[in-house]
Amino acid sequence: MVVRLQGNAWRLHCLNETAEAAGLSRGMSLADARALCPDLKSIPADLSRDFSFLRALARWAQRYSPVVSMEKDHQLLLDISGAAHLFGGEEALLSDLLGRLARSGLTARAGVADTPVAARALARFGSGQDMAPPGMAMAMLDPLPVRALGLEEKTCISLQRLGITRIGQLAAMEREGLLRRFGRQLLVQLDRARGDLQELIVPEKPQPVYGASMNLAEPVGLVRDIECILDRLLERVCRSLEKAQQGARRMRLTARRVDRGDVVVTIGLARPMRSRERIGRLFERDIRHMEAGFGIDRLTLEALDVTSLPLRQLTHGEGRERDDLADLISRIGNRVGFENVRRYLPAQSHIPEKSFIVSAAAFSAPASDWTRGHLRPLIMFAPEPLAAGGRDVPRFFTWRGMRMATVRAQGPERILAEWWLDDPGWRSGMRDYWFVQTRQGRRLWLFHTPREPAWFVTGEFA
Amino acid sequence: MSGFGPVLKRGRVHEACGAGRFFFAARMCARQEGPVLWISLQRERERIFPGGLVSCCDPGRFVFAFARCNRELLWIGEEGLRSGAVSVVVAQVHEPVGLTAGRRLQLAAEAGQTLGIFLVDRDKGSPSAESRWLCTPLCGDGHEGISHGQEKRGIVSDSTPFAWQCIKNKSGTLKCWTGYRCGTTNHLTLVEQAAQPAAAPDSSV
Repeated sequence: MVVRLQGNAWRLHCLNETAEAAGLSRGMSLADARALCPDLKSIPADLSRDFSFLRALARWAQRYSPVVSMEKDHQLLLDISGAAHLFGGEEALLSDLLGRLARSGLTARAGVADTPVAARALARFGSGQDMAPPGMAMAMLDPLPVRALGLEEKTCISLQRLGITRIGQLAAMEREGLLRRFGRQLLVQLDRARGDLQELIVPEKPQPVYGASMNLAEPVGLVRDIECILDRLLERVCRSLEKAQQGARRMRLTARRVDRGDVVVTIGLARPMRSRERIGRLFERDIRHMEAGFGIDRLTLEALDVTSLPLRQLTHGEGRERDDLADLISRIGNRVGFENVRRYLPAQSHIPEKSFIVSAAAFSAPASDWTRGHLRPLIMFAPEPLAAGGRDVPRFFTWRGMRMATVRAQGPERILAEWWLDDPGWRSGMRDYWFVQTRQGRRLWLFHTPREPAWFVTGEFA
Repeated sequence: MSGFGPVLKRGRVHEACGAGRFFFAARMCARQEGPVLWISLQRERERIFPGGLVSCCDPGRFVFAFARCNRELLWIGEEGLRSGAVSVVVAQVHEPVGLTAGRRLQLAAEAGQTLGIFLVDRDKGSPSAESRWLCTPLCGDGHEGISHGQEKRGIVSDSTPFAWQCIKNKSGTLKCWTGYRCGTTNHLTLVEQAAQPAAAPDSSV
C-alpha cells in the first residue's frame, strides 16, 4: 500500500489487489482505510522515482512501437498501428508484452483499441487484456462505466444521478441535450472514443543518457581506488558527451555500498563542461568525505542538465583564463552554493539599491556597460537612523557611537520612490540624498525623508 | 612626489585597516589587470556598491563570494589565491586570522602568484601579513588640486583626501602617503611623506 500526502491528509495513492478486495480504493484517506483494515501496511509514495521508473518503462516499450507517450496515472500509450504485424499481430504483441512484464514482476493492465480513449477505458475498466477488433471499440465500451471515458469527477457524478452509468447509454443519447447539460468536454471525449475526432499522441522524446557505471567484483573503500574508477567512468562519459557535442552542468556520482545504501555525490559546474581533468578535480573533496561503510561495489556516473557545447578551436590566452575562472567558481559554488558566488550587472533604475542586478556568477557573463553618473558611495549598508531632526543637514550627529561634525555638505539629490513597485524600504516616500564631509575625515551618504522627517546614513564614500 | 603610490608585492597577502580600507583595496585592484574575487560574509553589513566602485575600476571584473562563516571565508580565500585564475583576492574579515591560517594563505598566494588583500578591523591583523596599511580618510577643505584662480571662481573639487600609512612591512621601510582624488577627472595624486613611526593615534575606527 502506498500513501501520499495531499493537502493535509494522507491518502491512498496505490494499492494492491488484496486491499482492493477489502473495499479500499484510490484517493481514500489513510484514516478511513485503517478503520476498514486495521492491519494495513503503508509506505509514503516517492513520485519522482515513480516517474523515472515509468520513463524507463517507456523507453523499454519502444521495442514495440516508436510512438510511446507517458500519461498521467502511470499510463503508457503505444501507437502500434503498422507495428503489430512485426510481432505476429496485435494479439501476439499484447501477450508478449504482458508476458514480459509479468516475468519481471510487474502487474500491468492493457487494452487495445482503435482510439486512445477506448484503449485507456479498456485497460482501466476492462479485464486487463481486452482487445477490441477494428471498428468494434464502441461495442466493447458499451458495458463499461462512464467514468472510463476520462471525464471530470463532477460530470461523472451528475451522469450517475441521471441514471446513466454505462457508456452505451451515453452513446445512445441525443447530442444536443448532452451538450447543453454537460458542455463540450463530454462530447469531445465521446467523439474521440468513436474515432470521429483525432487525438494527438505526443511521443516521449528519446533523451540520450550520458552515464557510465562499473560493477566491482570486490568492494573497495580506499579514496585512491574510487578516484581511479571515477577517472575511468569520466573518460567514458566525457567521450560520449564530446561525440554528441554536449556539455554537462551537473554530474552525479552514485556509489552503491555493500550494505545496499547509496551514497550520492552531486557537483555543479559553472559552465557546461566535458573536460575529464576539470570535473575530476571537483569530485576530489566530496570523495574524501564519502562514507564507504563496508565497501562500495558499484559506481554510477551520470551527466545531468546536459546542454549543447559545440567543439571549439583551441586558442591561447583569453579562453584559458575564462576556463580557470569558471573552475574557481565551480569549486567555490560547490561548497558555498552557486547562489552565493555573484556578479553585479548594471540595471536601469534611479533607486541606488536597484541600480544593479545581482546574478549568480556561474550563469552570467560579466557586463562592461557601466555608466558613471551621479556621486555614489563605494560602500552601502542598510539605512542607519540618526538622532537628528530638521530639514537641514545636521551639524553634529552621532553615528555608530562616534561624534561627527559636518564640514561640508553637497546636495540634495532627490530620488523618488518607484511608486509602481511596493518596496518596504521606500514606504516613507522620496529621499533627499546628501554627501557629507565630516571633520573626522569620513565622507558619508546621508538621506532625509521629507514626508516622515528623519535622517539616515546609508553609505560611505572613498 | 610619487604618482604611482605604494606597490603591493604579488604572491603575498597584505592587510588594510581603517575606514578607508575599501578604497585602498579598490585602488589596488584597479592597478592590476584581470578578474578580482571579493569575499565577504553573508551577514556582512558593509557591501561594495558597484555604482561607486565604477569610479575606481570596472565592476565587471569582480566576482563576489559570500561565505557563511569565517572558516568558509578563509577556505574561499585560499582557493582563490592558489588557483591563479584571479589576479586579486580581497576578503573582508572580522576575526583575526591565526598564525597557521595566515601562513597557509601566504603559501597559496605564492603558488598562484596572486595578490591578496585582507580588510581587517583595527588591531585585528595577522602576524603573517606581508604589510599592513592604515587607511584614513581626511577632512579636506574641498580645494585640493584646484588653482587659486579656479577657487576664486567658486569651483569645488569634491576631492577626497586620505592618508595611507604603512604600519607594518616585512620587506621594506614604513612609509606614508597622503593623497586626494579629483572628483571630476578621477585622477589620483599621491604624495609620499617622511617615514613615520608605527601605531599612529587614530580613534576613528
